[in-house]
Amino acid sequence: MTDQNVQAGKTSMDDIKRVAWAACNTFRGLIDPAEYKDYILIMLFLKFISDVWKQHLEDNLRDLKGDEVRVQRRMQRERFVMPEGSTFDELHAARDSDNIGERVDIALEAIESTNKAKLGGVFRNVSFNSATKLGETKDRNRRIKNLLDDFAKLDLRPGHVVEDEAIGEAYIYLIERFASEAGKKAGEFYTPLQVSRVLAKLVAPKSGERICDPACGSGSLLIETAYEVGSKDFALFGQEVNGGTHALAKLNMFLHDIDGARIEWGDTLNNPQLIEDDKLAVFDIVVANPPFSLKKWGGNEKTEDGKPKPDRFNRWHRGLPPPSTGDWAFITHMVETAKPKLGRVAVVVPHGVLFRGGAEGKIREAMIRENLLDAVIGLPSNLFQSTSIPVAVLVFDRRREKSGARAETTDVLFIDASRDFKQAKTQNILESAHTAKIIETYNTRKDVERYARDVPAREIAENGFNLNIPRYVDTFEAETEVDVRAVQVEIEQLEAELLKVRERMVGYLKELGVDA
Amino acid sequence: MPKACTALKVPLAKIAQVRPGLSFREAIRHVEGGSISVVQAGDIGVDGVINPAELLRIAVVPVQGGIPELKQGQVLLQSRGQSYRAGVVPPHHGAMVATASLLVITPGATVLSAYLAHFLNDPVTQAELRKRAAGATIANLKRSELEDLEVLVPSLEDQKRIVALGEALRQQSRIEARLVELRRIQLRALIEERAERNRGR
Repeated sequence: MTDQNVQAGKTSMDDIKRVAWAACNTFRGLIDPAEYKDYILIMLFLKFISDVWKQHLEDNLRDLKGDEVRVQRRMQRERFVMPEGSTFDELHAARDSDNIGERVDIALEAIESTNKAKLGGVFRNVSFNSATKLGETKDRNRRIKNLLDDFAKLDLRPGHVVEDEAIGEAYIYLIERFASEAGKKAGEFYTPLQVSRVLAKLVAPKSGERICDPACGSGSLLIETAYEVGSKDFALFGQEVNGGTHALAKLNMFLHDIDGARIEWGDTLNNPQLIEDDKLAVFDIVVANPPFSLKKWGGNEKTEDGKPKPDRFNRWHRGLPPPSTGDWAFITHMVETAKPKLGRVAVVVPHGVLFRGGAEGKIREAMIRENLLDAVIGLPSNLFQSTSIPVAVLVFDRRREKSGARAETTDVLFIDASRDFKQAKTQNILESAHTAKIIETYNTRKDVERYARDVPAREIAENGFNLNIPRYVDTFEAETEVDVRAVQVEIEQLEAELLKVRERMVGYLKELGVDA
Repeated sequence: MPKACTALKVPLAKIAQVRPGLSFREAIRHVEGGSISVVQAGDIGVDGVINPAELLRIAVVPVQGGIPELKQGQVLLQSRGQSYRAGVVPPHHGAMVATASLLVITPGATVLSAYLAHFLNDPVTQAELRKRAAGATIANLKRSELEDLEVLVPSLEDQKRIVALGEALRQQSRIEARLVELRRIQLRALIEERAERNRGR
C-alpha cells in the first residue's frame, strides 16, 4: 500500500493490482500465465467475498447485540454465504498445514455448493491440490502459503476500498495483463478494451435492453457494453465454451456488482445454452469477438444417412458456413439471436469474411439482400495480443428489415479506420480520438474523403457482394505522374549537395591531420 | 611507453557518471496526456537519434520522492541484448525518464556528449561492450562494467571534428540512398516514356 493509503487505512485499485501481480511470482515459470491466472483471480474473489462476509458479520453482531441465532439467520441472506472453515482468514490461519491445497479445494467446493445458484461450477476447473500444476506436496504447500500471505495484505472490506469499481477494474486489469503474458493464447479470453469500446459505442445500448455475447470469454466486452448503457438497467447474457474462462466471466460479473448476468458454459454453435421456450433467446444487442476462422466448428456433422445434420434452431437457412471456417457461423448465430426488427449486432471479424466466396459469399449476399448489414469498419492491424492481423467490425441492424424502423436505409457505410492509431512498442493503440472519429462518422453516415463512404446497396451488388473495404473507400494516394525532368533536377541538386558534404569531410579530415 | 600514451585511454568512470535507468516493475502503459515521457531501449534510433514526440507517456513514476529526470546532453546506452546503441538526450519539454533497459551517462567537462555517443556506437567499442556483458538468458551490461570501459579521449576540438565527420558520413549515406531511389524512379519513368514513343511508330 502507498503511504497515503496506509494512513487512511484504505485499499486502492493500485494496491489490489500490485498485490495480485506480485502474487503471480509464485507461479511464474512453473505454469503458463494462461493457467495461473485462474489461481490468482479465484484467490482475489475468495478474499473479496470473505472480507465482505467478515465485515457484515461484525456489523450484525454489533447491531443485534451478539444475538447469535438472529445473526446467523441474517447472514444466511448474504449475497454470498460462507460455510464454516471456508473463509480466506480461516485458510490463511491454516496456511502451515500439510494439506493446505486440499483445504482450499474443500473450501471452494463448500462455497460453490452453498451458493449453487450463483457460483455453480465456477471453481471446477481449478485445483489447488494438483501436483501436475503446482508441484509436489512440499513445493505446492509453499506456493499456496505464499499466495495466501500475499492476499492477506489486502483489505477488501466494504468501505475500506477507495474506489467503488476498484475490485472489478483490478480484475479486468489482471485479465488484460495475463493476456499480454499469455501472448497468442490470450485470444481465447480477452478482447482489448479499445476494441470493446468501439463495439459498445457502435451498438449504443439503451436502458432496459438485453445484451448478449455468445463468445464472451472472460466477459469484459459484455461489461464494457453494459457500461455504455449509463445505468444499471440492463440484462447481460453470455456463453463461453472454455470452462475456466466461463468461470472467470462469472466472477467478473460478481466483482462488477452485476449479479443477474446469465453466463452459460458450452459451445454456442453446436449447443447454444441461451434458450427460452425451446427457442433461441433473442436480444436487443449482440456483440462478440468470436474466434477467428475457427476450424472444425461442427459444420460438417452428418446424420446417420450421411446428410448434413440439421440445426435444431434452423440458424443456417442462408447457407451452411464451411466446416473449416466458422466466422459466418458465429455471425449468423448473432444475427439470428438479435430481436427481429429491433436488434443490433456488432462483431469483430478477420478481413477474409468480407470477400471469401463459396458458401460464405452466399451467406454474405443473403444478409446484404435482406438489408441487414449496416456498416463495415476496418480497424488498424496489431490491436490484439493474440494476432497482428488487421480486423474489421461488421455492424448489422435488424431495424433495417422490412417494416423495421430503419427499413428506408439501404446503403452500407464503409469506414477505413486502419490508418488511425498510435504506434506503441508491441501493439497499436486506438486512442479515444480515433474511436470518437469512428463513432461520429458512423452516427452521421457522412462521406469523408479517404476515410468513409456510404455505399448504395446497388454498388455492392455490382461488386458481387464483395465487401473488401478498398473497393469502396479509396485510400490510395495517387502517385503523381513522374516528371522525368523534375527528377533529374533533384538528382542534380543532390549530387551538388553530395559534393559539398564530401568537401566538408575533406576539410574535417585535414583538420584532423589527414590529407585526402 | 610515454606518459601521454597511457592517458590516451581513460576508464569511463573518470570522465563521466553512470547511473541505471528507472526500474518499472510492470510493463509501461501509455497514458494519453501523461506528463512524463519515457525513453525505452527501442527508442534510440539506428543513428542514435531519440525523437521525444514518439515516446510513450505516463502520469506517475514508480519511485518515492523526486523524479530522476533526464537532462539534455546526457547519453543513454542500451544495456541489454547483443548491441548497445547510444543516443544523446535531445532538447525536450516536461519531464523525461529512462527505463532500466538503459544506462544514463552524464559526461564530465573533458568529453562531449555527442562524441561519447559516437565512441560508444563505434563497432570496435560495441565489440568490447559485448565482451563485457554477462547474463543467464539475456546478456546484460552492468554499470560497473561500463564504468571500466576504456574511452579514447581526444581534445575537445578534435572531438567536435570527429562528431562532425561522423554526421557528414551519415548525411552522405542518406543522400546516396535517395539518389539510388531517384535513379530507379527515373528509369521506370523512362521505360514508360520510351514505350509510349514506340507505340506511335
